[in-house]
Amino acid sequence: MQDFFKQQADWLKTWQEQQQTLTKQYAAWGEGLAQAAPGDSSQQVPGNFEELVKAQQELFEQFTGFGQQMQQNLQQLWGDKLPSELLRQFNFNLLQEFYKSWLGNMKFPGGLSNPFMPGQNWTDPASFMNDFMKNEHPFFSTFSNFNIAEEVQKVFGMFGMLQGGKMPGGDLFSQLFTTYQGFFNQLANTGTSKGFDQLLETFTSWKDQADQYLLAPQVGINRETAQEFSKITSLSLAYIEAFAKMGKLIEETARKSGNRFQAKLVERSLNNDPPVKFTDFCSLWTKENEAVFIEVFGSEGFAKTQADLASAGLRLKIQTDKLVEKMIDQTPIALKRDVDLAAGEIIQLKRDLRQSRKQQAALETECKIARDAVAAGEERFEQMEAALAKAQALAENAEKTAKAAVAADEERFKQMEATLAKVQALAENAEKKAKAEVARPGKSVKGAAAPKEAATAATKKTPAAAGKKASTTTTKKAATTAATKASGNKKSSGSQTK
Amino acid sequence: MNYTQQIQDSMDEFKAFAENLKKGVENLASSGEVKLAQTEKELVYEDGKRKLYRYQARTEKICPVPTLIVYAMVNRYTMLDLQPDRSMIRNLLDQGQDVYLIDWGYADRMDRHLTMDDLINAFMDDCIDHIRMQHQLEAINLLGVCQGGTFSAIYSALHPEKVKNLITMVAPIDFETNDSLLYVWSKAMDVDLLIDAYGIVPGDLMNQSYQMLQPFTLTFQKYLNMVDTMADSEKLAAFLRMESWIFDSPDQPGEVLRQNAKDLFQENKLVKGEFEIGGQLVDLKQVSMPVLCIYADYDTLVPPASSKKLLEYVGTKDKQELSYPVGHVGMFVSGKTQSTLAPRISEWLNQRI
Repeated sequence: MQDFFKQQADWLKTWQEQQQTLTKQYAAWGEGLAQAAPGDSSQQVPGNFEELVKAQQELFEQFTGFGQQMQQNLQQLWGDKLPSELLRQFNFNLLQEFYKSWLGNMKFPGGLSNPFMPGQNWTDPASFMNDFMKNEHPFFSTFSNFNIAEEVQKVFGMFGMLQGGKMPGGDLFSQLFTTYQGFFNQLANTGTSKGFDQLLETFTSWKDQADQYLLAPQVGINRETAQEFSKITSLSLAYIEAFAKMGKLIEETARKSGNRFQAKLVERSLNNDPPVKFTDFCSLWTKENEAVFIEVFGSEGFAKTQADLASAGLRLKIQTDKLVEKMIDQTPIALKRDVDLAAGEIIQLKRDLRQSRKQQAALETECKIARDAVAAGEERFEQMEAALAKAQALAENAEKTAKAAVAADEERFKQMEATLAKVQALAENAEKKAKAEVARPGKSVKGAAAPKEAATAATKKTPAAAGKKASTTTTKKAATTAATKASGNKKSSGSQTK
Repeated sequence: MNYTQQIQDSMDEFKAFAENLKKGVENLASSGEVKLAQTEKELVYEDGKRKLYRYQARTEKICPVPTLIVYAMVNRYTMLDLQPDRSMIRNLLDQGQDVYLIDWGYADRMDRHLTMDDLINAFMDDCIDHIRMQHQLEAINLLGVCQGGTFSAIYSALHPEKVKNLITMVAPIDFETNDSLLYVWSKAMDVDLLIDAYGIVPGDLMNQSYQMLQPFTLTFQKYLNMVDTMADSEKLAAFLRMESWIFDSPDQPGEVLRQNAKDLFQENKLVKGEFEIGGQLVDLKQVSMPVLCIYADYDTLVPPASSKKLLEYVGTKDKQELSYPVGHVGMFVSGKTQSTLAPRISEWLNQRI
């Protein structure tokens, strides 16, 4: 086991030595590039990369420190007095950026013409603002009843309190101006005009060469980790480069907007309409600066610079996240990627669940339709059965009626046959009597013929008797047909009911 | 005016400024909790963070066809009900409209894979089905605001049979224009990188972009002007409500933002007829119901050119536009719109029931 720890320690030592070697090489390149830069490198270009980063870092720290100080003061002063929700509403992150822009452009090139004191031009914003507010200056000398400086101090002091910057017993206005001046000096020394361009150019050249080494394949057991760190370094350089380009653009824009503001101030002064009120002054400052900035912000050049800066920052973030995740991968802490994976699965499950619910709802609808159809069919079937029963009853009635009719006919036929038989018997008797009369001596022929005629007449008086056999058959057939018809009609009407 | 007078005015102004500030700080200390969206409403349907509310009626006679308001995801719907005398929702209720509203909630890491299809074809559709079922109606009115207007136009194209009337308010539809800085910036952004880096894009990041639209006004001048009003506790409360709304920006689900930024802002697919969600192509010609397009003349977020183009692409013949000389937010809180906007909307709807 001891061997294992020793091995680990050796690896670590080797890795540290590699990093030291790399650092020395970076520094050496930086020195070389600084020497090779045009002009007086000792004045305009930091001696090496460390100084360059240091200068940038100092600048950052100042801006960041300013915001933090504001925030801290806010907490100190109001933390126990105001609701936390209200405190959160004061956001200084952007303020510091725009103070930077403001101050960056306020070194008035050639001085700002002072209409009240010819020859004594304002050369920087601090002197202008001081003159604007101090009663010693001729601008304010026409009155002396008020100590305007004190009033202004009060106003800014109170405004500072509102923004959280008033330290107990301190004077925020002075602090701000002191801090502004510090920013301004720093910008003038490191981030403006010619020096800025050269700085950026030199840095970019240095970065390109550094990248070749940083992004080259590495060897050894820790090569993957070393590679990831090198990549972060490379991406950091890219971010600094992108930031510097944006800084340059903002600085140029701020210079333009500052010039425009100054020109407006002079113009209004010459037109006897200087912005003597504080709010007028600020409104003018906002309006004129913003007009220039918005014009630049609307350009494709700015959009690209902004996108490049954002992308550089995002690449650095992705790489940093990756490395951090790798470092805590062995701990029991859930990683962001684990959460993302879980979230992806959960949302897919929710989609599937919704889809299933929809399908279930559709199936339920179909089932309901089918159930309704079955119920309707059953109801109709019952109706048909009832109709059929009715039809059958009707048919049976008709049959009965027909049978009764047939029976009645048969009865009548029998009666007719009986009547006919009686008639025949009468006729035969009559015939016999007639024959007997004829055969009896002394009876005339005429008298003998009379019974025959009487029999014939009797037959004629009974129509049904004419062809009695045939008549019987016909009546039977007619009754059957009537019964059949009645039955058939009833069946037919039953079918219609169905 | 002579210099003496000027200076006297200046001094008077300083004094007034100082007095306002003093009084304002006192008002701030006693202002209490900032409350928005106080109009009474009832939760009627929900799916996780996303909720559907129905507002309580304020008149006896209610329009038989309800109206669903779909707000943007990039800010909170509370803008529509900022305070009682600055409330589009309350004004619509006073006109007898039956108002429902979708609250998208606050997205978090669990929503990073949420898509436009999930929002439009799933949640919006579920809400609309719920309302249709409750009211036994085939179709209801849809009122989409800002990004919610884009969603509503897309929904109406995909499900025209469920939408009785469509109203879009300050809604981005055509992204060809460069009248807004946001449109210019978004075309250059590497959106994939942004989404890959964040997953859920912080609302504050979006807010910083909005502030850059008027960098000096929104970060400096606004707070200076605040001093003029903060001595009046009512005005201060109104300012704080607006301030609270402005910075109440929910984080954005990555995949929704990705499709919104790439397909709409960068490639303008909606008006080209190439926009697709859930495997369905969105054809604005399918928008066959009456359409009312409302836009703000001085909108710097969603320029009029982007909004009113909707009417050129929809299939309906019953289409109308309505504009006000206000900005994007002014459409909902400006005094110019308070008394007339809701009545006009209501009249337009009532004529088409």
